[in-house]
Amino acid sequence: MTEDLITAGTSHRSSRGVGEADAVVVEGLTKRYGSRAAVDNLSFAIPTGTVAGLIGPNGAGKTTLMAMLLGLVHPTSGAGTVLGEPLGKPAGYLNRVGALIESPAFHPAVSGIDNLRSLAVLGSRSQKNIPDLIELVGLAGRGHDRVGSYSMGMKQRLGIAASLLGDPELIILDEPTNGLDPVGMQDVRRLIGEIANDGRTILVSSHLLSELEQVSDWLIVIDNGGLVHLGTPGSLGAAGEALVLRTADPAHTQMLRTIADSTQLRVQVDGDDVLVMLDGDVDAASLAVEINRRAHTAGIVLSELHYRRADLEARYLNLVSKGETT
Amino acid sequence: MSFLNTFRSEWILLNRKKLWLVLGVVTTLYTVAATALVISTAEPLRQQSEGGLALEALVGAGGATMAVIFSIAFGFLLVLATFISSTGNEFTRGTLRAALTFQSSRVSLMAGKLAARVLVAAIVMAGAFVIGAITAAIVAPAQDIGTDGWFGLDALGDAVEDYLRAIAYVVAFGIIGTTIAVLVRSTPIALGIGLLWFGPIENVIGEGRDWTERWFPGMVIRSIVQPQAADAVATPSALATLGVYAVVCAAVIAIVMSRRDVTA
Repeated sequence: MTEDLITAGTSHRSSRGVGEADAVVVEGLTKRYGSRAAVDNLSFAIPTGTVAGLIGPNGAGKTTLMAMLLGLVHPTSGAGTVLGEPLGKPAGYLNRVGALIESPAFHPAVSGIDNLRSLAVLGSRSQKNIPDLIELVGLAGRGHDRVGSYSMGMKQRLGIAASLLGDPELIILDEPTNGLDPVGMQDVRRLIGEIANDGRTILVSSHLLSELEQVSDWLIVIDNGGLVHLGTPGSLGAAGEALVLRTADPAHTQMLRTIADSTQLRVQVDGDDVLVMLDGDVDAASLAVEINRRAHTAGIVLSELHYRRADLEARYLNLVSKGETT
Repeated sequence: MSFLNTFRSEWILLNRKKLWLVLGVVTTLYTVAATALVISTAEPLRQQSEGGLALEALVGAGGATMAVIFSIAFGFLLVLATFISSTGNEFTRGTLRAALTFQSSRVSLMAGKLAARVLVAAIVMAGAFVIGAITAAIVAPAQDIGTDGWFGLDALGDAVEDYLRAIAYVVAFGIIGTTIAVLVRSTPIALGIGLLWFGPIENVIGEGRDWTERWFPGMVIRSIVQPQAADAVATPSALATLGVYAVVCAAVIAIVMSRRDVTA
């Protein structure tokens, strides 16, 4: 299975036309606390230049995984590389990685700018772009204020600015929208998009799929420490796409079902609705025309015929509620 | 390199006007009050009560700073609590975790932070010595203490020695406080342990037992800053013992920091 997963990552990278090595590779990564596995035999690769969404419910092992990538937590077993350097030697890659792990942590009595200066010095990173970063994350005019006077959202933004110090190649963001209002969440998503445009690799986690599906081009879904899905957001939701049909006369529902069955696709009846599941490579528009034509020929008046986008959240919840790991 | 980076990084956090202002006010108030109290309560050697300073010790070359270092010694709980909370808060606030995403050498990180904090303490101590000496010079005449010998070269030499003793005292409590905080990773628990040990426990166990003066860290540190005390251990022996404790503490910090996961 491990080989399959890595292969999946490689093909995705190829489709993006990125020829460099994977930014992150983990193989059989495990972290146990006593008998409990926080991360259980996890294997995947994140292609360079990808925005990878790490998604899973609370307690799935997202933060532990990220902490292991950053050298904060020692793996119980397994191996991997970050930017080509071995996982166990963070000194070899930390100066090329930016991170916001768990909640943003700053010295409250110190200004936002001085907190960033302190971190930049600590990591031998340039301080030149600190004013630009402060502006980028929307803290212009507040940089010289004490962090203790910041709202949660402002601290989160400062945390993102800290992760961008020194223009890192890989950025790891652990639930960056935590504690933010809807506008703040949207801002952070926009910010991630802007950062990603520079060709950086980003690994961002959330327990909400809706947070990640818009910004990620690669999803890693984990639950109970194990991998449950790896692939593009499309691959997660393809199984849920459908054509929804309804007759004006409910007495014709069974006839409509027969017409739908003739398409050789999976069909479900949900109340008065007949659902034609669009599994595989199906042209939804052509199919809708054909079904409408057949229904008309059979004297059935359709009151509804529409394309239903995959409910990624439902698919995700289905994946994690099964508790299965690949 | 990573040690120097950590030192500079910590200095950026510490070198703030407001912090210096607060430290200046607290140091001034404490030093003036404590020095004046020590001098005004000093008694002749033959009438001296336990814990006080003998009048005779104030006469002569080292008199001006003798009262200062004697009063500083009573502030040990403040020094210990400062080092414990500064390290403990790094764990509880998550700033240590954040720092480790920029610099992976955990031992260098702790060493650099401790060095920067000791530097701040050393500057504060220097200020305390100046303020205390001035206070002593003002208060001494009221106690009929002669200050003729306080302003010569010998006095300067004694002042430097006293200052070095004060630095040793800060470093010792700094390392011990940092070690406790690293071990328990919680400011309130570490404060409880530190204050209990250096307060009642050392004094209760040490009551009437001579060996405790030689081995209990708080008592050994007291021998450094109060060498004139009747039960004080000789300074070379005290420094040697503290050196051993410092090495043990550094080893504990290094092992604990290297092996433990940083999850907070």
